[in-house]
This record gives sequence, structure tokens and C-alpha cells, in this order.
Amino acid sequence: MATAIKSQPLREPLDFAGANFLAILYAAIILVAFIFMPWMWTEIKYSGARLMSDVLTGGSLKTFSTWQIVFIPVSALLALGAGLWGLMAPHRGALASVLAAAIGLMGLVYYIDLYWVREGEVAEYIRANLGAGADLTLVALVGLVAQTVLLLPPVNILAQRLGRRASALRPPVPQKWTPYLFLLPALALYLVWIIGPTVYTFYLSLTDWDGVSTPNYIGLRNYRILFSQSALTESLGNNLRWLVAFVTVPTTLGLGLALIFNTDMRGGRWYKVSFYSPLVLSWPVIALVWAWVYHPSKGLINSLLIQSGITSDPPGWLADRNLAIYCIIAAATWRQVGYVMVLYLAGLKNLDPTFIDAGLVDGANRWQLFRHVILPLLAPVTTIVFIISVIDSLRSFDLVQVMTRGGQGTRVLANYMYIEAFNNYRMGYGAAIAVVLFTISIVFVGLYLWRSLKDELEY
Amino acid sequence: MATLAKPHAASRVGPLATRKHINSAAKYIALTLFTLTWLLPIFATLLTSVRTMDDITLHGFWSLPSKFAIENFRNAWVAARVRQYLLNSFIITIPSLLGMLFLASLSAYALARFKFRGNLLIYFMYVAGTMLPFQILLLPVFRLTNRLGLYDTYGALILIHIAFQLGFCTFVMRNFMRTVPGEILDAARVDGCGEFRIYWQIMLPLSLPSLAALATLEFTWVFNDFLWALILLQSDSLRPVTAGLATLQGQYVTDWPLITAGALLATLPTVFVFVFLQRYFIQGLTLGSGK
Repeated sequence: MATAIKSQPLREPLDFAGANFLAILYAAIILVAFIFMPWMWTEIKYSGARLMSDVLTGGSLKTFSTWQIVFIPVSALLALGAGLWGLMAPHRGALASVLAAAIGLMGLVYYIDLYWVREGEVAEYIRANLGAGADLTLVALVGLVAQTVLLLPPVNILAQRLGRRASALRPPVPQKWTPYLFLLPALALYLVWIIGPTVYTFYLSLTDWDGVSTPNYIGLRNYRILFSQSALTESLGNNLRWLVAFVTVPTTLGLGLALIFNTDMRGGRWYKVSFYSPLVLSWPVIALVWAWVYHPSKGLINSLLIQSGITSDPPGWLADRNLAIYCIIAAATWRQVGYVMVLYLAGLKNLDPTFIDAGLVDGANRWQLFRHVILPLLAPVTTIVFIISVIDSLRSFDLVQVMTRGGQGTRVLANYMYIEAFNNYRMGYGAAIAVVLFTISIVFVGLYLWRSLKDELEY
Repeated sequence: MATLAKPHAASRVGPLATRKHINSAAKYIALTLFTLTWLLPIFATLLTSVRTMDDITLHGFWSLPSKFAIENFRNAWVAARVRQYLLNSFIITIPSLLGMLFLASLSAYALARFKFRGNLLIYFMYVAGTMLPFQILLLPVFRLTNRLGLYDTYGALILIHIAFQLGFCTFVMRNFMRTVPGEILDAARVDGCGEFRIYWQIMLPLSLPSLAALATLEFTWVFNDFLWALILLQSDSLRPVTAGLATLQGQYVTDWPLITAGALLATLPTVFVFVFLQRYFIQGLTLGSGK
């Protein structure tokens, strides 16, 4: 394109990517300011998002009306969308830029009204308490409107020329830096929020941190106490039970169901949907649903047992120390089966049918076909299923937290950590439990990475 | 590819299917019974949510409701604040989704399309990060948000969701972007198109299928998160619906119709996504295991 421009200096094409990019930038600034910055008072938690939530649900802050507060995030999202659309569909770039500016103009009118025009007690109050987020938004709104000047042909061409001149003057970014520039924003966030904390957990586990005061280094004392506690054995045992259940039940049941539903059967879709619908339920919802099923006197199971006369003294399920953990694991399995089934169904769909035809020609019966043809071909899926099962079982927390709060001998490692850290304020000790959890899971993660590293290097 | 394999599959199963023909009816009955039993907890929840606790106590669980008590839903929506909790969930989920998809697609483009020192290392760092139990991050992140003054704000949750899901999103998008033919990108490069522009105007539009699947899946994941909300938020007015349900359960301990009504309301957005974007949801689930 550069050469084409040079050969026809009189008819330079207009380029709206710059305007659209600026629109996205300003809209993003508004959105970020709305969520992260204080809008009223000076505390960070009084962000625009907090105000919006309070106003919409009839909370204590009645200083804004509904449409006033919804206006800001919705219009920011719309301007963001307009900019994105303009960038992805360059021939509509000018229209997208005008749309974004129109939204910005509405915002400006709203702000001028709020800042200077409106009168009355509420308006005075708002003006007196506007925080940094509101100021920043005003600036971004001006920018959002101002980016339209790039649509005027002289300005647009001038900006393009300036841009070219600047890039000609400035030493070009070396080619080898480009990928790092793409990676930088995500990596920075990842280092601060994921990698750093992972390392910091190890340090915290060597301290007596209580969540408020500064952590003091106490060496391995947390670990010495931890390994002498029966609570650790209980949690580890429960994690292990969970793991064994997850590796066996959903895998076999999921595979079985996938084999059944893989054939073209009438209404097969509805059966499939029935089995994977629990996947959209959140863990707390599943916990509540099953806690009600297990309810000792009025729940689904026990009222069936009593009313049908099978027994007058049914088990207490979650109230029974010996049964509680198995009840929770059963609820978890109920959700997991659908997931495994989806994975196996996808695996079966990708199987090369010629292998199966060959098996049929050789006169294999259905069991032999399954055992010697289908199962080996599904081995990669089985590995994934196995790894997912292990990881999910180590991650278990929500069900136990909602169903028993860790009582009745149902603690898993994550709950043990949560209870110690946030109920007993022994955060250092909690970190030691986290390190144990980390050590166990890194074995499985390592196995998986090693396997996929081989794939990558072959690729 | 799936549509190509279909006719094969049908012809292959043909002889087996005829043999099974006699058992077919029995198979359907058994399957239907099994499926209905499987869904029994959901039916129980639906049924309970329109009854009153007195009715259940008096007539037992296995009885027809004496009265259709729709007010459970009204009470859960307003008095038990499910309305507020749901709104909070959306305030947290939508910016998280935008942020993670944007940042992950940037990284994925670099990892999929450039050869440079540390490429595989960074890729595997992301993969390892998604697989570790995130519970090990709880305490340091709790301290970090306190130090940054972000504790008890939406911002803390949004940032940790973006950061934690970056790994999975990058993993999926990187593998998808590798399948885009390089000729298209090279052609643009020859025309003097800058790298960022190639990413925006060529790679991103081509990646829309994987973006859609990812967005659907991540929506349900972030929306359904419970632990982070439990740790990083204190004010009841900020809680997303998952943590809100736990509060609600503590508050209305014995009022199961109200609790189940709340749980059903809390599920509506994800069910909506599931019903209308089911294809993408299922694609998303299998994306991660595609390799």
C-alpha cells in the first residue's frame, strides 16, 4: 500500500483506523475509570460500578437516578463496540468513528449539565463529591468527540503524513521485539497476579502471618504443626476419595453414555442435553440442590424411603459423619459425568471410521471392536479426561463450603486452608496447606506438560 | 469435518443397528428412566420452588403442591436480594470477559505467529498456570488486594479473573491461530501492513469462531465463580450471585422453597447462554482438550 500511495500523491486514500483506535482507547478509559476509580468520596470502593449497583437495586445511595448512572457504562460499551466494528470493517470506519463521537457528545452534554447547569440540593451534593473517576471520564469524553477531526480529509492526510514522517525519523522497532510488545500487557498482569503470588505462597508458609500484621519469619514451624495434625490426614484422605471417584465413575459412565449417544438415535439430542445441563449450574447451586435432596427429614431421598415404607429410620446423609463426604462427592460426580461425556463425544466424532470398518470386516464382535479398536483410538481423549478429573478433584472447595462448611469430616485441602486462614486467622499456616496442595498438583501438571511438550517439539 | 464423517458413521452403524432392533424399545425405556432419574434433583428443585414450606412439612415431599406459590420467586428477587447479586455478577463478568479476550488474543497472536526466544516457555507457563489449583493463590492475592486498596471492590475480582483466565484463553487461541494459513498474513505484510494492524484486521476477524466459543465458556466460568468472591469481597452489596446464594442459605436456613427459588433465578443467565449459544458452549468445552 505504501508504494501505491507514493505513485499517486494527489489522491491519498483516507484511513480511519487511527480515529477508530482512539475511540476504543477513550471508551476503554471511561470503562476502566467507571469500575476502578472513585466517583464520589475519596475511597476507591466508591467506584462508578458500586454507585450503579447501589442505585439500581435501591441501595443507600440515592443521589443518582437510574438512567443517569446506567448511561455511563452502557454508552462506554457502545462506543467501544463502535470502535471495534470500525477497525474490523475498515470500509465502515468513518461511520463507526461518527457513532462513537455521537455517544461521546451525549456524555458531554450530560456532564456539562451535571457540573455546571443543574441546580438544587442533589446537584450541589454531586458536584461537591465527584471523584477522580468522574474527572477522568470528562477528559476521555472530550477525546471521544475530538477523534472525529481525523475524518476531515486534510487532517486525516496530515495525520497520515505526520505518522509516516514520525515512523521514518524514529528508528524502527526491531523486528525481534514485536512479539514481546504483544505479550507485554498480558505478561505484566500475569506476573503480578499469578506468578508472583504463587511464589509468595511459599514465603508466607514460613511466616506467622495473621492477615493484619506484618508476617514474621518462623521457619518450618507451620509444617511441623501441620504434619502432626489429624486434620491433614482427613483432608488428604477426602481429596484422595474425591480423586478416585472422579477418575473412575464419570470416566466410565461418560464413556458409556458417549458410546450410546454417538449412534444416530431418535431424540438423542434431548438425552445428551439432559446429561450435560448440570454443567451450566454453578457449584453453589448444585450444592443447594443436593443439600435439599439429602435433607434428613424432608428431602427427596429420605421422604421417599419413609413414605414408601422401606425404612422408618433412614440415614442422615450430610448429617452422618461416615456418609457426608461420599454424599458430596456424589453431587460433584453428577456434574462431572456430562463434561466427560462431551469430551468423549467429540473424540468419537473425530475417529477415523476406516479403522472401525476394518474391524467389522475382520469379524470383530462389539466388545472386541470397543476393546481393541475404539478404546485405543480414544487414548488421547482418555488422557485429557484423566488429567481434568485429577485437577478438578484437587480444586474441590465450593461444594464442601456450601453443603457442610467443612464439618462432618468433609474437609478437603482447600477447605482446610480456607478455615485456618479466614476463620482462625492463621494465614501462614493456611499458606503451608496451600504449598502441600501445590506439591501434589504439580506432579500431575508436570506429567501433562511433559506429554504436550513432546507433541510441541514434534510439531 | 464432522459433517463429512456423518454419512460414513451411519452406514457403518447400519448392520449393528438392525441387530439391535428388537432391543431398541427396551433400550429406549431404560435410557429414559435413567435420564429422568438423573434429572430428578432438578425436578425436585423446580417443584420445591413453587411450594410453601408448610405444605411440604404437612404433606411430605412426594405430594402434589396444594397451592402454586409464585411469591417464593418474588421474595428471593427482592427481599433476599438476588436482583442485586445478579447485577453484581454482570458488573464483574462483562469487563472480565472483554479484558481477558483482548489480552489473551494479543499474547496468542505473538505465541502462534512469531519465532522468538522463550516462546514455548511462556506458552507452557500459561498452560501450567491454568492447571494449578487456584486456591494456592488465595492468600497472596488477598494480601495484594489489601495493599493496592482494591480489597472489597469489583476491580479486585475483575483483575484476578482476567489474570487467571488469561492462561486458558491464550492456550486455546494460540492453538486456533496456528491453523490460520500463513499466506494471508504474509500477503498483508508484503503490502506494508503493520503487525498490530494484521492482528486487528486479519487475525482477529478470522479467530471469531474460537473467540465466540471461548467467550461463551468463560462467561459461565466467571459467572459461576464462588471462591474469589468469598475471599476478595466483604460488603454484601457487592457479592455476585454465587456468594449471594451462600449468604441467602445462611439467612433463610429452613425456607427451602425460597432457597431453591433463589438458586433457580441465579441460574437463569447461564441457562440462557446455554440454550441460545449451546453450540459454542460445547465447542468451548472441547476446545481445551483439542490437542
